[in-house]
Amino acid sequence: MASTEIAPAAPAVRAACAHCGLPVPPAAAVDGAARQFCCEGCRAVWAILHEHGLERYYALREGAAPAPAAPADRLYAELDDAAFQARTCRPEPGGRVSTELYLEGVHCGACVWLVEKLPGLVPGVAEARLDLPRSQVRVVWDPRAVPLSAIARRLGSLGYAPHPCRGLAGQAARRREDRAMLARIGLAGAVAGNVMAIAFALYGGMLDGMEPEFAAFFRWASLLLTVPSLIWGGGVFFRSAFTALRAGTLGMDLPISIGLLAGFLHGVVNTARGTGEVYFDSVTVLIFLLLSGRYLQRRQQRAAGDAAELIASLYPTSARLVEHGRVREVPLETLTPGVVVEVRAGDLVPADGVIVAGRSTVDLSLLSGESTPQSVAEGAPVHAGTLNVSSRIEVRVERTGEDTRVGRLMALVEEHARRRAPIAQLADRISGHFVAVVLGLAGATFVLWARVDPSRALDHAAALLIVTCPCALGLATPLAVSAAIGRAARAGFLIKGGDVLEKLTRPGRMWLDKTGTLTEGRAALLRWHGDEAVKPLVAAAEAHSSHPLGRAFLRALGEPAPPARVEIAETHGGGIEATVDGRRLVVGSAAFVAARAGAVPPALAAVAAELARDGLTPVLIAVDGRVTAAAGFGDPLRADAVAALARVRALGWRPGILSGDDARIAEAAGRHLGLAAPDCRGGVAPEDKLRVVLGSGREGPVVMIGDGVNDAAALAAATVGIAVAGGAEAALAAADVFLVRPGVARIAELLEGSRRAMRVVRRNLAFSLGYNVIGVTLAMTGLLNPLVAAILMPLSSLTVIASSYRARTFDRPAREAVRP
Amino acid sequence: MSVLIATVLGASLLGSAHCAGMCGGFVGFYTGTTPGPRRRPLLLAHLAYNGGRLGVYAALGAAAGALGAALDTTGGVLLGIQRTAAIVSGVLITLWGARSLLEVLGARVPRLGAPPGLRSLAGRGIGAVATAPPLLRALVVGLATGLLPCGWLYVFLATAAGTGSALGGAVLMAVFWAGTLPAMLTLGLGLQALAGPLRRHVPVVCAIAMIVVGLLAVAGRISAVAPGAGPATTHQRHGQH
Repeated sequence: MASTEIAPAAPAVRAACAHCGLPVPPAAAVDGAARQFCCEGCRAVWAILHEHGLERYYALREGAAPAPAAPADRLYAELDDAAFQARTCRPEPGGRVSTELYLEGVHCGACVWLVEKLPGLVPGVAEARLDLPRSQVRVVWDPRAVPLSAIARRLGSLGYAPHPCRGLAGQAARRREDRAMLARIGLAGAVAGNVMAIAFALYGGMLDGMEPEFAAFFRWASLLLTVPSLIWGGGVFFRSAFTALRAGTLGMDLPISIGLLAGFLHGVVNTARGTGEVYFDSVTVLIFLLLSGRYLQRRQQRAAGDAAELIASLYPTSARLVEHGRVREVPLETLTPGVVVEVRAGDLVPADGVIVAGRSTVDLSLLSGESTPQSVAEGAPVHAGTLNVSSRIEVRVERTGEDTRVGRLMALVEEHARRRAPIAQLADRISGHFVAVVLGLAGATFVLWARVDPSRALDHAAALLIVTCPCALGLATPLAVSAAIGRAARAGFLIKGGDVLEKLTRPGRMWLDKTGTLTEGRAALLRWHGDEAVKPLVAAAEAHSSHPLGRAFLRALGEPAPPARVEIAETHGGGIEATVDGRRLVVGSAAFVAARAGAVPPALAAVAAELARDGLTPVLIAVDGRVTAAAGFGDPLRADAVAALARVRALGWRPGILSGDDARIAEAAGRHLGLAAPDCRGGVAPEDKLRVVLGSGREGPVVMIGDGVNDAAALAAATVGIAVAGGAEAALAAADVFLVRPGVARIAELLEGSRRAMRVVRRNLAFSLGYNVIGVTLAMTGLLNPLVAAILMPLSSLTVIASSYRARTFDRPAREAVRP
Repeated sequence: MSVLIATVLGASLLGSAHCAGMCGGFVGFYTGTTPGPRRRPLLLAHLAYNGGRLGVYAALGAAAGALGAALDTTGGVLLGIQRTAAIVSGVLITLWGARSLLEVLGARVPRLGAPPGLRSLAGRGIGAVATAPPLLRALVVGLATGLLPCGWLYVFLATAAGTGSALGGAVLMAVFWAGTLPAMLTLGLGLQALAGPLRRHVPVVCAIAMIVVGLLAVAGRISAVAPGAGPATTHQRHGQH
């Protein structure tokens, strides 16, 4: 749409008639007149009453519209309020601002297309991205060019009334929309039931004969009953079709609207004529079924959207507020910075904050991937979403909701989740032409049947219009993708973008970082040659070292019994010299030990060389001047690495190692994993990793798996970058996927889950296309009754919805049982 | 005929929100109590008011219908058009409805003023009974309502003319009156508030209703006799005797 019309200026509130209170047509308003009247009659009566001093009887109209009459269009001025914007809008680069709004009336892919055209309709809007399941649009705009209220008015004029979506306002809007829809369905159902009862009588009359007056009465009665259902219930579809037409596109509700109107008018004509069939029962049942189908569809979408609302799934819904020494449960949304909450053992921490009382251990696996709980005490910070493991603590809240670390993280994921998968865009394009094709076929059906048997032409055309369901087509992909991403998030795979799933199904090259990805990520004592008796001495010395190898020593040798005296001198990059109970100890690299403790015996030197060849880090231990032992340290491969890589290869991917570690170590690891030597590259600097990834990218899809911080460039350059460690925010900034749980098997699970998700998408598309083809064929050949069409149509969308949400694309790990 | 009755009743019901708004002040006038939450309804006064309205409407309708009958028998023969009255009235109503719709949609259309004489007559009548007992006040106001420049009323009078018979016209206006009853009787009961959000749509609804009625008239559904049988058929029957 190349329209450059600006958002409508704040419309003048329509004046209300000074006499009767109804709105005065704008063109009839007399500028500057103290009183406006909606018609000459009101003006006359007003004059009469005032001439005779009877104006006090106006108070009788206490039920009349309060002056002024409700404005025809909302102004949305409250959205420009500074305090409101400070709370709900986020600054973006380039002086722009972004915010989220909940839109009423969003129900299908065409709505997404329409809303995302906003930048073309309102100058100053840079981006509009609509999340279909949750009906939330993210708008990025330049506040200097256009105010938010103008954007909101434009959205309102398109048919999607916006509301602030944070917290309670959004909830209220959703509930109102639901209630209104339920009221419509209730009315439609009641009308349909009554009209069907009348239809029974009419059908009986057709068989057995009925006097014309009764038949006429029944026809008129069913017509009158149908009118409110058509206007209020069917109005949903008419409005949507009309809005789409105004925006220059053929909306999905257009065929339905035409079908309803055609059926209704046909009945009206026949009722007036007094002969012929009337289909009010079909029309009313159709309206009821369509509304119900739409309502169920929205609820399912919203349920899945809420489930995929990652923030909600990671936080508890309530918190225990400590006030004046008493504890009470409050909803999570009411927490503000500065209050103190109690977190019991086994509870999730509800907000970012600082411990003010108690000490405990917390499970930080959500944020760091470390499954070992960390001890925390007073003064230590804790993060929302982490699990308090051992004892009760009290936390002073500092940041809540979307401002917490986890909240910002999830916002990142959600922002990008709206990227449309290429297959979704294809489906959108098809939908656009779909409606035109359907209308054409309906017209053709009508014309052809009009020649053969005119009385049935309209029925068959109406059946065709009703049975074809573009919604299933438009919904097939977005629903399946968002359902899969939601499930993936709960299983610990944070996927940023709908296109990622599709990309992961096309196998190519896979480069894996070694340390931390394929290996445990920390040194472990793997081999020991020589004197075992010195182990306690080494343990005593290393207990004071903060070097990773020192820690590894301790992990392997255990905590030492407290020695009498220990003196330590640590040399960075070399080793450690210590005196333990009078014995002199030197532990370190071969050069370091040789310089301080004398020559290395040839046997141990050979051992050290062998260790190095095997890819381990050799450390020599000398006691009292004699080198007595050699230890080999390595970063052990993860237990599941071999099996997982086999699964990855089975899916068609070619894995390889890109490591900053020594080349021999990388090769040794590769040998273990069954990788060919050229695929294991060691000693690669981050810039070189980027070069390798770019090179592979030229040949086909390439996946890079690594540390979010160190390998950021390579992750961003790959077709799909998967981050497995290192601070979730930084990881997701560069990568498309973040694996919360450690383990190489996760990679295989991710690939398999993506395949299952794409299978669901293809299944949905095939089903909806096949359904439409069969439906059109049956309708054109005259085998389909409009009533049966009415039942089949919502069934098709419900099938697509069910297929998307019941599909087990990603499974949650069993450990989830511990979470509330 | 049933088409006619149903359409008129429906249109009248739909548009009665405006009737209540415009004539509501008069109800207060004849009940005579100070406005406030507690008002004892004066049943007889209400009956008098609405009865007066019925009388006026029916009389006007009969007059219009007679006019239409004259147009049919004379004009029909002269112009060779059957059901002249129905067609003429149908066209007028449709035009009026289209004009109203245009006005609602924001176009500038000329406003048709009422003959000032009628208004001052109504005003004098009402002023004269300002201090009379409620019953008399109600009756006079009810009768005076027929003199008010109410476009809605004129539409239905035109429809009455289209029926082509005095009886048909009177019946039609009675049906119109029946459609306005619910709104007028529930005035002051606070039920107006229920319709609040829908008030915006009243002008559009009225306009569309007028167009529908007008089209039906032109299509020949508003004749007092069965479709297809017009004055010509009546003549034929005469001829056969």
